[in-house]
Formats: sequence, structure tokens, C-alpha cells
Amino acid sequence: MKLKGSFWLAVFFLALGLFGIIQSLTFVYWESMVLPLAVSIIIFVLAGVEVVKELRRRGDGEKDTAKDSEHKVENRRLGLILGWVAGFCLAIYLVGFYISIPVFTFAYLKWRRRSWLVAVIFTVVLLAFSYAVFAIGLKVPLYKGLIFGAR
Amino acid sequence: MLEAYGTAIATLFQPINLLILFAAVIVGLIVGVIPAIGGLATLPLILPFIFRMPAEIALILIVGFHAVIFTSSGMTSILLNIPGTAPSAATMVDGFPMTQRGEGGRAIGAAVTSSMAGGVLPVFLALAMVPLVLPLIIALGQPEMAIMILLGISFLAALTGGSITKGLMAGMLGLLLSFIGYHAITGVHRFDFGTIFLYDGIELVPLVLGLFGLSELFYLIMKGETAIAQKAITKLSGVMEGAKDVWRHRWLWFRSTIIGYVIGIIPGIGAEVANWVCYGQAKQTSKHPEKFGHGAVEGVIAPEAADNAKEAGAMLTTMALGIPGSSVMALFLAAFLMVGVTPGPAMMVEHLPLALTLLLGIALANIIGGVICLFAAPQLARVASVHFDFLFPVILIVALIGVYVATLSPMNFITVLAFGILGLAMKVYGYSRPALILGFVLGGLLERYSLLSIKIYGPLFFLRPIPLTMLIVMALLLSYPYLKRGISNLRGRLSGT
Repeated sequence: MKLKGSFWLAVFFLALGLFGIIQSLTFVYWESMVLPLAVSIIIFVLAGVEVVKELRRRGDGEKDTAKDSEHKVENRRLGLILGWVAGFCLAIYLVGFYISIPVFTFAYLKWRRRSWLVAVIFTVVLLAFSYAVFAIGLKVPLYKGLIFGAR
Repeated sequence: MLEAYGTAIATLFQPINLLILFAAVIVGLIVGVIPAIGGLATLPLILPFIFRMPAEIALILIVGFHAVIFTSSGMTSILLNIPGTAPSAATMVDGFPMTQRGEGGRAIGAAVTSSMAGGVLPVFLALAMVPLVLPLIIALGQPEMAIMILLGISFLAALTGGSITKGLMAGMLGLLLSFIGYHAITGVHRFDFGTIFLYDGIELVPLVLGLFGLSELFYLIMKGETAIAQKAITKLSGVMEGAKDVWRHRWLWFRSTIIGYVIGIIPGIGAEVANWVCYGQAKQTSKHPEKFGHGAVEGVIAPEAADNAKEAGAMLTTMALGIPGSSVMALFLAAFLMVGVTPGPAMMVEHLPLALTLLLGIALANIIGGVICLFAAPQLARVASVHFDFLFPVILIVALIGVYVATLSPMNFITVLAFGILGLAMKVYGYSRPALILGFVLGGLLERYSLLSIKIYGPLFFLRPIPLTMLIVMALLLSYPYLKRGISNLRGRLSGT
């Protein structure tokens, strides 16, 4: 039986607790050590309990092919959307908000098979809204991007 | 004293002040509706503009702006399952299932009415109880505050996670994350891997936006949602029904308002704890606790009443003691100083009419904001039926602009993305995200109070009467499900024999 995501999340907490304990012990003064150490120990112990619970549950379930294929579809959707978000963040970092917003919005809507007219109108409205609210209304200078000289 | 009340009323009802208050309420309502932005991110943007204003106008402006943010922020919790502000996450638990059931209008009616009334009553309590509450606040020392924070995290852990173990783990992770960065007391760098990016620790805004905003987007897309709630528009006539629900559950509303107000008075913890404590008491005192989490209107009324009620309490503490009653009140403190008013006991003597004007301003802003929300609710509710293809870019863009505006660092996009993924995993596997947020927000305070308590009272500081009582309450709370199961097993065995 394959191990589930809940098991790996519990293992993540366990590793985090262990890392916290090891790191805390390197802090020079007791004032900086006491709470991080106590909290890390609690995380480690609780995560240990969860890992044991997950391992006990491991053999209980039966293989469900329908559920597995549903999970595959969900994971594919999640992977795609994470790609979109990461790409958008990277685009903002490189070319700033004013170029990334229209490019991302238009590309995303076309990817979702919206018509050219709808995609263009929505992109323009969203860009105008962002500019009106943040640049004019709140007078917040939005990030211009690494390529255009922002740091 | 009566003269001061008269002056306060006359000041507040001057046309210019009323106009400023009204404009501030409109802006506050809009900001509150924008998911996960909230007052903590937007209030600093207003501060640079109030420098040259007369003190009363400047402070009425920020009071009006802030007072209604929680009134409208409940709407995004109810309609989008994304909290407009971190504390309004409690409203999501039952508000969103109501929307999914086609009762979004009713949930909004209940939330707005409860919030509006919950924002008005405590103001009069604050005005009447000033002389009574001050000794109580002063009596709470560092040990009590430290244990009070742990009590708040335990409450959240017990009430919002898939299990108490997972809930506690999430709360502890929040605390651990709050310890990242430079430790001011000892100068030690903790968990920052020697990077400048983590020198001041993790920023709150990207953490909240990632854990709640992005993770919800990821979840909805992962599940293949096309519109958040197709039924939302058909049941909008339920707005007034929601208002009537508050009257039907008036004692619950009254209890939540009083609890919220009292918690709000306690410096530093009110904003984040009050909603969840009130949600918890609503569930525990309900005849149908099993309906909570599946769209119980009481689960909307209780946290919304507390949400606004705590602000009057927090405002009172900030003005009377000069101690911020919540994170946003720390910004208020800065605003007071910027316009030449020093909060603290002296303010209640030297600027009593101004203090009373601001308290009355909160009440009036809540009434104006509540009425606007009740009438605009149908329009706002339409957000829920917009196709997700359009909502996704809007929410993502606003969230990322929010991250940049709050931190001025594009590097925080990594933080928001990382916490978006963690938030999704926590949501899917039943770990409490609100507990993590609370731990993160209060971690610094917990450490300060704990260290001071150890230095003043020794390592056994928690054995003082009030902290010990709080610890017993905490132990009972955490062991309650196990005790209940044990007792019912015992009863089963006894009845079997």
C-alpha cells in the first residue's frame, strides 16, 4: 500500500521539529533558546504520534482505482496552476506589475478558452482597475521589475 | 463628565467630521471586502496623509475606516471562503457552507446585523465602564498574559483542526515561525540561515495571504470548481432573514458581544482570539453542535458580534493605557502620536472629549457601515457566482499587489507561494491554519511575557493562582474530547452490565 500525503506531511512536521531542536541547542543564551526548544520538542512529539497513527492506518485501506485516477487529475490541475502562479510571480519580478498583469490575464483567459473579445476587455478592465486603485487612489508605486531598473 | 459627553457629541456631528466619517466608512467597507488585505496592510498607507490634519479629523478618519473593515470582511469569508481579515476566518467555518447551500444572502444578513449591533453596544459599555475595567487590566501581569496566549492557541487548536494533535502542531509551528530572525533581547540570529531576507523574520501579510488566499485558490482549482457558489444569487432575499436570525439568537449575540468586548480590552491578544472563543462558546452552548461547520447561522452570528465588539475594547485599552489592544491598534498608537495626542491615562484626563468622540465615532461608523452593507449585500453577493476563470486572476493580482504593498519586497512572492502550498496541504489533511496564524502573531508577545515572568517570578511562574487556573482550563479543554469519549464508554459498559 502506497503511503498517503497525510503521512508525508506528518513526516515534514517531524523533520521540522527535529531541525528546531538541533538548531535551538546551538543558540548561545538561554533566553533565545528556551521557547524555540520547548516548541520544537512539542512539534517533534506530536508529529511522532501522527506518524505512528498514519503507519497504523497504512494497511487498513483497500486500493481504490477510481479514487486514484481522480487524485491524478487533481494533482495535474494543481501542478498546472502552480506553474501559472510561479510564472506570474517570476514575470512580476522581472518586468514588473504593469506588464505582467495584462500578459498574465490575457494568456490565462485564452488558455481557459475564452473568446478574444472577452479576454481583451477583461484584461484592459483589470489593468485599469489596478492602476486606478493602487497607483492613483492609494498612490502606491508598484514594482517596475528587475529589467526596468527596480531592485 | 456630562460636559465632556456633550462636547463629544457636538464634535462628532459637525458636518465636516460627519463627511469625513462617511467617506472613511465607504473606503473601509471596500478594503474589508478585498480578500486578505485588511486594516493591517492598508492603515499604514493612510498614516502619511494625516500628518497636517487637525487631530480630531485625522483620528475620526482612521476610526471610521477601521471600524467597518470587520463588518464587510465577513462577506469574503462567507462568499469566497477567503477571510477579508485574519480574525474573520472564524466566520468562514459556517458562512461558506451556507453560501454553498444557497443561503449566502442570509449569512450576510446575519453577519452584518450581528457585526453592526456588536460594534455599537460595546461603545456604550466602554463609555460606562471605564472606571471599572482599569483595575482589572492592571492586575494582569506577564505570567497571566503568557498563559492567556497559550489558552488562545489551545482554543483554536481544539476547535478548528481535524484533531487536537494536528491543531496543536499547527499552533506550535506558528510559534516556531514567529521566532525566525534577529532576537532583540540577546542579539542571536535564529533560523535565518544567515540571510538578510529572514533577518527580521517572516512578514505577516504574505503568510496570511498564502495560507488562506492562495491555498483556497489552489484547492478550488484542484477540485475543478468553475464558480464558487452557483446558488448564491437565487437566495438573496434571505438578507433580512439573516437579520431576523440575530434577533432569534439574541442571547448568543449578547454573550458574544460581551465576551468579544472583554477579550478586546486585554492588551495584545483580543483581535485574534475573540472570534474563535465566541465561535467555540456558540458551539458548546448550542443544542445542535453537530450542525456547526456545516452552515449553522449561530456560527456566523457569534464571531461577527465579537469581531466588532473587541475593537471598542481594544480602543479603550489603547487610549486609556497606551497599550495596543490589537495589532491594528499598534498603528493607531502611531497615528495618535503623529497628530500630537499621547495615549495613556493622561489622555483620559486631558483629551477626554476627544476619547469619547472617537468611541462614539466607532458606534456611528458601525451603524452607517451596517446599513450600507445590508442594502449593498445583494450586489456584493453576486461575486460568488462569477466564473472562476475571472475570479482567479483578480484574486491573484490583488493578493500579490497586497504582498508587495505591505512588504515592498518582491522576494516575498516566494513566501506567499510557499505558504500557499503549505496551506493547501494543511487544509486537505485537517491541520488548523487559524491556529498557525495565531501562534505566529502572538509568538513574539508570548516569548517576551514568558522571559519576563521567569526573570521576575522564577521558572515556576505559572503556579501563580490566575495562570494556574488558566492552565487547568486549558488542560480540560484539550482533554475534553477524550474525557467525553471515556465517560460515554464507561456509561455504555455500566448500562450493558
